[in-house]
Amino acid sequence: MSSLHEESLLRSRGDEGSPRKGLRILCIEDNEGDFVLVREHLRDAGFEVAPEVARAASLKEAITLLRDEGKRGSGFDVILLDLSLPDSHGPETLDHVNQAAKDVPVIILSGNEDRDLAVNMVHRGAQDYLPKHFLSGDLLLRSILYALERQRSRLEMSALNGRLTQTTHDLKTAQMQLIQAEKLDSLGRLAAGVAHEVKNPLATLQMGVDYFSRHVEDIGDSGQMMVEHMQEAITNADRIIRGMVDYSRSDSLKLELRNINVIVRKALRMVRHEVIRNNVKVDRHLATPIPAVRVDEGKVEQVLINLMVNAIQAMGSAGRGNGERPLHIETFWGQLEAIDRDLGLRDYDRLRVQDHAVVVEIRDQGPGIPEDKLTRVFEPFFTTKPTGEGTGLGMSVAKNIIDLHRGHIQISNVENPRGLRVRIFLKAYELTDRMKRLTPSSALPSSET
Amino acid sequence: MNKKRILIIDDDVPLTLSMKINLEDIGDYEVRVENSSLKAVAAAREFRPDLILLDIVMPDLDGGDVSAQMKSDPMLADVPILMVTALVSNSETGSDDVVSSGDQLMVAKPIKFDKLVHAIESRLAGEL
Repeated sequence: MSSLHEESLLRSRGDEGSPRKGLRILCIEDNEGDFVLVREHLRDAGFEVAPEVARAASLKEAITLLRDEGKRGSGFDVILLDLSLPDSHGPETLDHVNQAAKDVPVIILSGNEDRDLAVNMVHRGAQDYLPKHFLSGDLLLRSILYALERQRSRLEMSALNGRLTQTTHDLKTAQMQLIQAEKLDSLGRLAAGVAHEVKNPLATLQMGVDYFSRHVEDIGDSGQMMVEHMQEAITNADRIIRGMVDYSRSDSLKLELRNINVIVRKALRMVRHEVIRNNVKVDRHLATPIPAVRVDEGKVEQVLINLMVNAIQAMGSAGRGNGERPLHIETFWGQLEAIDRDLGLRDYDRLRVQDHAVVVEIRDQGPGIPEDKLTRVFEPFFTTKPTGEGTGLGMSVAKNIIDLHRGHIQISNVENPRGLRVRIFLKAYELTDRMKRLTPSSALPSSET
Repeated sequence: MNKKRILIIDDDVPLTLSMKINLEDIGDYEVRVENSSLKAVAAAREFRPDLILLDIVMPDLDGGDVSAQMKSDPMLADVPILMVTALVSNSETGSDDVVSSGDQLMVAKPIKFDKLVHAIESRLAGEL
């Protein structure tokens, strides 16, 4: 009757391919006679492989046994429990057992047929409630198999729920990062816009004040006093505007001169579990000496981690044989030949043609991104990953952070070997003359996106 | 003594005019103003300046683009350029209102005239 069920259940225990094992059943029963009866029913029940039945005569013994088995990792598949034990009585017995063996289904064996108690027990987590005087092999078989099936569904659901919670959490975190980055970005743009519009007229006023200050004989004492007041007004207005620009910047990023290679190595350490898990080989080429970059180390490290994880996962899902797939990480620097213009960010310190730039390149040998989708990767909520695996915010956040650094991020499909290449351009600082002489003869490739 | 020739490239008309008046007023400079970034290179080729004061945020071409054009013109490649920008904050400038970005040096707007002259003279002397 239930042989199909039994087969599928036994397979689901992960024993596929290995010799089938019988179920391991723990019977918690103080009455020797009752235990023998249960064991006989189980023997006659018609399990394909005879179950292995252990007995505990008290709650204490049961809990010791469950803990020991749990530690050894073998564990029981199902527990048959008599609620009336010498050291525990009633519903609490179930609670204690559940606590000791969280994921093992429990079937209550009871000496009396109490409907209310039966319902209560099921509410407390028991899988079934069987009066002892009704016991038969068939009934036990069916009850055990259904209990196992329900337990499996419950565990699957709880795992799914865990993943859902994690995904929701990731999504919320990424969303917050995005909102934060965008808020700071707009504040920065606003401050830059106001600064530009106000400082030009201030500069004109300053030139006027300086002119009249040199010609005090023409303007008299009153004129000279007015010029002094005007100078104060200009200085004050300028201080306020600078403070505003300061605020919008210092609030967003803690900029410090750093060696990008150090940050790359740190990020690589953070992703080493992903590297091992996906059987990826890291192919690292870090240029030395390398000019400094002015960055918020934590934020840039976060961007690099995001990009590295994307690259590793892209190769994981590409499923190319079992050989090690290389994750190519490179740093280099040089003089920019061309760069995209971002008209919204016309700051004095953004990257320009002929600037020296430091570049971090992350290249995978995954499937790449279809050309028609390439321009959309920086849009919030755009993702190429299967539903539930990507929030679609990682690249958007990465671009926002690089924008805040007045850098440039570029993404393109490459061939030979095929894969995706992401490059981050950051302005080079503290170039020594020796470095300038070392500048690679060919200038940096022009921006392609 | 020969007057130094200064070319000011900035789209702000009142500002360029007041800078020109000041620089010529002290008698050491001959100044030409170009308010269109598109005509900057032509103006420089014609005027042959000793130094260029170059605004960064301009319509059409910005200071970076103009600077790149100058550098790739053999006649202008060696003319020193002093960038002028409005977009700096307190923490980025020292007491002399000079700020460095990457390997470029620039002066901040608004700049006091004596500091501007000092920056021009330092740049001409090859100190900046």
